[in-house]
Amino acid sequence: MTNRKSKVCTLAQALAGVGDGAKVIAAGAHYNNIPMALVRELIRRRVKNLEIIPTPSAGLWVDMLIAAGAVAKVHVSYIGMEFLGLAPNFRRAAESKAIAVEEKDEPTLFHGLRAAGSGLPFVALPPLQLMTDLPKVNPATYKEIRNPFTGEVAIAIPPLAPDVALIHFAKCDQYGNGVSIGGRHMEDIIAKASKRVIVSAEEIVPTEQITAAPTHTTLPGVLVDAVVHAPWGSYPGTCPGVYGYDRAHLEQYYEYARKGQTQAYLERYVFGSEGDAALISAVSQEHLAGLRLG
Amino acid sequence: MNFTPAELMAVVMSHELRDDDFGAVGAASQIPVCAMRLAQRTHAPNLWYLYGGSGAVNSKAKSIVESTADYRNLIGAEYRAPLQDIIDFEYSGEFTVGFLGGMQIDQYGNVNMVCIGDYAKPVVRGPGTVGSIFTSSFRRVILYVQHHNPRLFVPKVDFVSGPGVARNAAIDRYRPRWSEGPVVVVTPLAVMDFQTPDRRMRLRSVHPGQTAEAVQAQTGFELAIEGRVPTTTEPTEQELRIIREEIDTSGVLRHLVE
Repeated sequence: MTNRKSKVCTLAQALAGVGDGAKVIAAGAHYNNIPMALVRELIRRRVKNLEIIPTPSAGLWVDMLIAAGAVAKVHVSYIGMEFLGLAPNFRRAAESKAIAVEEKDEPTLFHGLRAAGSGLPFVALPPLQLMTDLPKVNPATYKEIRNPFTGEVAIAIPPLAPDVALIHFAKCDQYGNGVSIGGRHMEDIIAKASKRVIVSAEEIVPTEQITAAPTHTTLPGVLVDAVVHAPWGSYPGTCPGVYGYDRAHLEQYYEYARKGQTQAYLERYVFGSEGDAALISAVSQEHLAGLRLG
Repeated sequence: MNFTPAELMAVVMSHELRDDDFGAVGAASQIPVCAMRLAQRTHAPNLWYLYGGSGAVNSKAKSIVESTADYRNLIGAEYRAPLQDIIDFEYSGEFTVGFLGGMQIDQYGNVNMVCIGDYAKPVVRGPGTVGSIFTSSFRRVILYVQHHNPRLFVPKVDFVSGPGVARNAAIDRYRPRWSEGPVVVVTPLAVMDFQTPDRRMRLRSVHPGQTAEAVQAQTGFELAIEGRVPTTTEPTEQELRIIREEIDTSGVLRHLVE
């Protein structure tokens, strides 16, 4: 008899297969549960020409990848820094056409991913976008169709299938069963839509912890290809139930970004070490301890 | 009793809410969050509300945090809605009232979150449409902004992210039958609505210390003004006490709008 195979590996091993031009999605909403350790490793790998498929509310990780020169195209619903304002690198790159923008919105990203995950040929939606300028600037996505049952106008949108999904959890076992303490947002839909799913977690827990409460599992490991142990993996964002976001650090990033000096931020906090060692040593342990919950 | 512009805005918005409402807010929505919770504690005990991002339903967090996506909003909440639920509620008309803002708002309540200037060559690239299309699917929409100036209130938005009031049969045929669209606009200076024969924005009331002329000067199109414009009703001591002692205990609304 052979043993069940662990999916645990290093950051570098997990992302080794992500090449130039890959379509990448990262889970999370605003600063919550964003897989920043995985994003930082992508930056260290100096991949190019990524096609970024964000969740409907994203910002920090997209802005950082753009500053690192890793992005060719972004599907946009909301790219911003929420309470801090506009995302400076996204704004500059979009205005100067350094990146291509595919103009979408929340339900278009969501239902596109859902179509890919469910194997639907397309999704028919009520024609609300026809009341906006979205179809004018993205005619390839919004197709006016006739409802075959009623004859009324509807909108068809195509499936949206990322090559790679990056997802962070508070806990995960070696087989990829992930637990988000803050509850499910759309991790299941993202994982089902994506060809390869890479999970990071604050803690790799024994499978007995998962089986003791299977209804608490946010994402089943059957959808997961690799598991990475990444403490502070959402930092400077929030990992629900583990730590809150670091407002001072987010403001610091925003200042670097606003002044066009994100390279200096990346040199200081992202490059120059294996994994997040440089980042964790640059931010004092005392400061990090203050973000911990409970 | 003294109050700040953000507290006044929250009280004005709470008066717009009804006992049978199910309200929705997006991220960084401290003022509408306060409005819904105030309404629930005063005239609308049966009101339900949902915070986008965190998915918290009927959150009872002791203070207002900067982000409604912050999972700490789940404190005292009755349910955590995944995004699937939120989008279903948005399309189906389950949300009776939604709060939205924008980079630009025009005289017919159209909202722009995408760009200032020509889309192909924008002066400012905005964050994007997110859920703005649902101004045509929430039963009622309360528009609100934390600034009131002629760059924000423009005759015609540069990009329509969120549809305004019904006035164009060619596109209004796509609007769900239950939606009234934008019904009121609340700013740090005034309250506006669309109660005019041609659905143009009308100055409903000016906040204490403001005049109709001053508000018009800060608006990039001609507001409909009928006779003497009343002054916005001030918050009562009771309302301010509830806000400061039970909802916004850390005083976010005391510092939000200059």
